[in-house]
Amino acid sequence: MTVEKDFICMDTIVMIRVVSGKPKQEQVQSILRAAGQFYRVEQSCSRFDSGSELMRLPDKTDVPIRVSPVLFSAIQFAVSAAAETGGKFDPSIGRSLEKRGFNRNYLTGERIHSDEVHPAQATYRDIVVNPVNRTITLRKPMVIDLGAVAKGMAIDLAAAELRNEGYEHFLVNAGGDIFAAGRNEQKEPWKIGIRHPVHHDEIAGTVRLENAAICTSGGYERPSSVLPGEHHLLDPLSGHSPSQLSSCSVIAPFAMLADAFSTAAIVLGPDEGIKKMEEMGLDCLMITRDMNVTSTKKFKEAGSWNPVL
Amino acid sequence: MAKLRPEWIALCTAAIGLAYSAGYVVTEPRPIAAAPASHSVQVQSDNRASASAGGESASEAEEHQGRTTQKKQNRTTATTIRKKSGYKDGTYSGQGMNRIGAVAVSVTIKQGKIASVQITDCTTSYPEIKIDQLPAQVVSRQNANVDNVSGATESTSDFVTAVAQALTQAKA
Repeated sequence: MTVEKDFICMDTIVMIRVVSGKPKQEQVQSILRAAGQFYRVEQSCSRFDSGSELMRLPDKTDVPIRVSPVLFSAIQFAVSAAAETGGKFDPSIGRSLEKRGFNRNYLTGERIHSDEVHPAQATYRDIVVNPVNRTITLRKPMVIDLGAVAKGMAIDLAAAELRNEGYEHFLVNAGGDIFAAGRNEQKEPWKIGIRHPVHHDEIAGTVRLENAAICTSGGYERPSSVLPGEHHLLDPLSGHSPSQLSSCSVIAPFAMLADAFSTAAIVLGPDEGIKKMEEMGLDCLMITRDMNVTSTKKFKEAGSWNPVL
Repeated sequence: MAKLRPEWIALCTAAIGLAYSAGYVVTEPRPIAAAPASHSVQVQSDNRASASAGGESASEAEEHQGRTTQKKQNRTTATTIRKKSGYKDGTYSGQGMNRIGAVAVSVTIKQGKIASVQITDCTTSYPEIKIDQLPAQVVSRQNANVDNVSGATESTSDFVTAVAQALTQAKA
């Protein structure tokens, strides 16, 4: 039997669908527990909630701060992704995103305004993580943004929850970022469409996934309310939204990887991005502004890519 | 699939392992019968049928649902626990109309925090007009040959009114 529930969390729609022989009520309870992981991550990692653990971190610099396992994992992962991309992906850009209008709490409508930061702009290098003591030390004042990490991590945690409860076949979709476990109702690998970046009710093609995540980044859903032509993705080094790619999808064994590196690759652009994904061993498909499709060598094979474009 | 560099496999495995196990041990003792949330689904349908808890008659409620975009909401269950966030524990429902049709949500507050916001109804009976950006779930429903759709993260603007209604109740 297939049971599906939809939730709202992290300013998007979270869909969890399980396929199993268990009684329906039991499946519903398992889905609710899996969904609980999203709220847990949001309460730790949200930049849009002044009450989140992230936004309650002390302002003090150069002092190690002990944080929760969820927040620690998210920050450590984000800093590692930043180092991997030489700062093209950078979690220290929270304040810049606020200035670009991305500071509104989707539930309350309240806007977060952090104090002006020191003129010397912080980078990910100013975040020191200590896994032994589980502490974070900020060497410059900053607002950390986990926007390209937290959702993927919550998907992975929800998947862990479902696996732990004995499910093999399920789909977790958080606003277009997906983990597909096992097989669908027809006992085939899950068939996932990649959304067309321009025609929103169409798909650009499909992939088949079995125990893998796919995340897609694109500027088409979240334009900046204050800067014309800019959107929620930011190249930390240029200070502008990346413009060469309309959409970038990454397939990975973990949603947090696919989430962070679909964002990183769109900032890196078509050439550097594909090169980096090949080097890391991630499968990536990019759609340029003029609707050309490029991908890593193994993407088409990995996902049984079937283009519609 | 391409062969992911081993240090990234190790890092992700450790990160998810730490965050997941900690949830069980420290902050989230597992609920035994998680009644409130499933209850809320039931309550939601009860509301639609009788709508008595909010002090408005069923016919009035039906009329609201049928003819206007402003829907009523009911506080379904609530305890008196109030925490810093200002929300009282309980399950609250909210409804609204938007460009994709009628939506209803059920918000559960536990220990003063939002424990879940479940979409209990999303009737996508949109009219003949051209809609620019449909949620992925609608797209996947239209493309009957896919299980789901991956795309840039969509916002929840379609549900804001319904969620706000429920949260207003939780603050009252």
